[in-house]
Amino acid sequence: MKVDFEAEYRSSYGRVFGLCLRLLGGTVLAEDAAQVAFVRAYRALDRYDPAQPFAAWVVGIARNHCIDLLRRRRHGELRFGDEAAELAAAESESTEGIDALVISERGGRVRAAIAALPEKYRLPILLAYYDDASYDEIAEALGLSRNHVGVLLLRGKQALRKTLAPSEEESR
Amino acid sequence: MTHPTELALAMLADDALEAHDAVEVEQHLAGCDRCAAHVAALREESQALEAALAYDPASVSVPEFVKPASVRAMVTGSVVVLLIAASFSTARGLIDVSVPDAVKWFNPFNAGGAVNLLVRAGTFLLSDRGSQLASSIVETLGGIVIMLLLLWTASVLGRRIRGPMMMACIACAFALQPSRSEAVEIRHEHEGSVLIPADETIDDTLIALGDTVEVNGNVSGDLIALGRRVIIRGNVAGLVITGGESVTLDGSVDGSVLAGAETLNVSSRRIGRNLFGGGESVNVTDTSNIEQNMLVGGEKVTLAGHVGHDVLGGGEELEVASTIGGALTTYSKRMTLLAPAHVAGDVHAHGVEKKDHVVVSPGAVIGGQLITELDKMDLEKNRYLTAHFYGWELVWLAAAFVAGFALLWVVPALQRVPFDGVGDALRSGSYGMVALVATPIIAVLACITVIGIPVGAIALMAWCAGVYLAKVVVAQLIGSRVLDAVAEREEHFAVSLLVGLLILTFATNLPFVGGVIGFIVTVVGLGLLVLFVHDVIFDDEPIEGV
Repeated sequence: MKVDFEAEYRSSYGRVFGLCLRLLGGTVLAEDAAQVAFVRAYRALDRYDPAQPFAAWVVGIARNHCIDLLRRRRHGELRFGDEAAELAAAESESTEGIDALVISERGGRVRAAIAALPEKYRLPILLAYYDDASYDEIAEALGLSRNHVGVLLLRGKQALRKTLAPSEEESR
Repeated sequence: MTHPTELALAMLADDALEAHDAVEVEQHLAGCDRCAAHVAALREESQALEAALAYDPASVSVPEFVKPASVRAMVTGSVVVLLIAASFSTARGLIDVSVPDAVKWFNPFNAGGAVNLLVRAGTFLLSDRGSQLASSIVETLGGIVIMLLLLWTASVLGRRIRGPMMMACIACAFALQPSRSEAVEIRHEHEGSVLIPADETIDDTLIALGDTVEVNGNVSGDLIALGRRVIIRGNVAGLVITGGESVTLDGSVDGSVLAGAETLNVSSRRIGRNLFGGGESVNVTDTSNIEQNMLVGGEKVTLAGHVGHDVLGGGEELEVASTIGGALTTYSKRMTLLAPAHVAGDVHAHGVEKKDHVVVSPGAVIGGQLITELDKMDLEKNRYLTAHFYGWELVWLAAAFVAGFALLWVVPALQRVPFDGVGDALRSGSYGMVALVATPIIAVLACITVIGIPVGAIALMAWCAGVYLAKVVVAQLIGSRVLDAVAEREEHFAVSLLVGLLILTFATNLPFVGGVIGFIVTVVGLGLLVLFVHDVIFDDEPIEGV
């Protein structure tokens, strides 16, 4: 089956660009990264399996490319901390989730809080909840174990809960 | 009752728990309202996060997809650009005008201060290829350059062959470095002095490091001596590499000498091969005897004694009283040839400020011709005030625009070269620097063998095209970024190219810093081109992890 690349490009660009924007943080950088992802997809078109949705395939390429860029920005290494230490810290935290209502009311604040997270929490959270990537996919992209991904997501969400917890005045 | 861990509950909420663990936790939830409620809250939290992060694809304007360049398109592009550049050069030759500095950008053989110097050095090597100096430099630098090139190729070609390439590099390094002795002896005194007394003979290569290093004895291998003060009085059978605040070389050396120091004094009665020296003040006394060539540079350089072949000297002020078996080439503001200087070949004085800054004393003898080349920059001090300057600047701009337009039209992927801030600038800068320096040297090396001449010629042509087009690539990058920031809609690439070229023309013509900017632009642009060509030829990343 022949792929209509132009049509697929137009329909999946938004999602790819959105991912690049969330991961890299700048419009120009995101445009460039999205373009690179599509160029790579174009070149590798003969290796594309039409059974898989096209958008998911390009998003995978874009995900890897963005992580490469971030890694290069950090001089070749992204640090995700020690799994055991992170786990110990996670288990000692209180377990209240963020009120879903709070998140839906304050979408902008939530995005800002995510953007302000340390990279080791920010990347897994974006990949899991924007990209809809599975734990296995995140683990592969970041070069971590599946459990480590779970720990980082948990820690990231705990940090978000702290930032987003209604202040004394608000809860009154 | 033991509750599941927070991690297990969170992973269950994300449907990420292994099947058998999930069953276990689910069973617990059936009997524990607290944990069940917590998982429900976590699920809601995840969904809410997804909703908060969701990006409305409709809000993005989809830019036109730029198809990647094929190798064929790049070759066509390069040929087109070379033809354009060649036709401009021919036209210039036909109308027989001398090219002012302002259009030096247009001419790939004359691309700004530092590049210019490199090209000059290259052409110097080519023109004196038969001479000892050239072959000695080639011999000394060849190994290093080949190694650098192999390392560079290895890093460019990627992980798969990096290992074997490294081995090849190391093998090359050994093959190119004939070892004169088996072992290395290291003498190291952090703050004190290292002294090799006159009656001591070191039967190995000696590495001596200390505040003061004094070598009075003999060394049968190579000598590497580094310190604040270095004095070498003994005899060295191999090569001498030395550096420090003050270096005095008195002994006899069978090999070459590489020396760098604030004050460098050489009065060796014999240097069997070449002397490469640099420093603030360089003084080669009349007792010294260098059997092959001498290459020295410094703020104040005084040369005497005997040199078997050629001398290449650079510096603010140069005084030569040596007997020179070959030619004397200098790059300095002032050059004085003092008696009893005797130069068997030509004397070529480059870059002097005024004609009378080259002085030949009555007792000095020149066997060949005296050729003086004035420093053009000084002659054109007020170039900004001439209509000539602006006229040629326009010609340059038009030529670069035509060449750039042709390039970007044939290879549209270059309209948007990926570039992510300082890291990429450094990365492409380092690639560009290697390409800039290594390519012409490799090409010259290749030209030495008959089979290599076509390869060398093609490499030189590609290099020239690359050096010229480097600015186009950077101009397009700058132009598109500037327009991205100020323009409301996406502009045609011709507009961003023109904007970028205008900015670059202005920046590179700034007094004092213009030359440096031009050089940086060339290096970064060349690196971007190298990386781009590499990506086109070797890019197979999409299969990884997809």
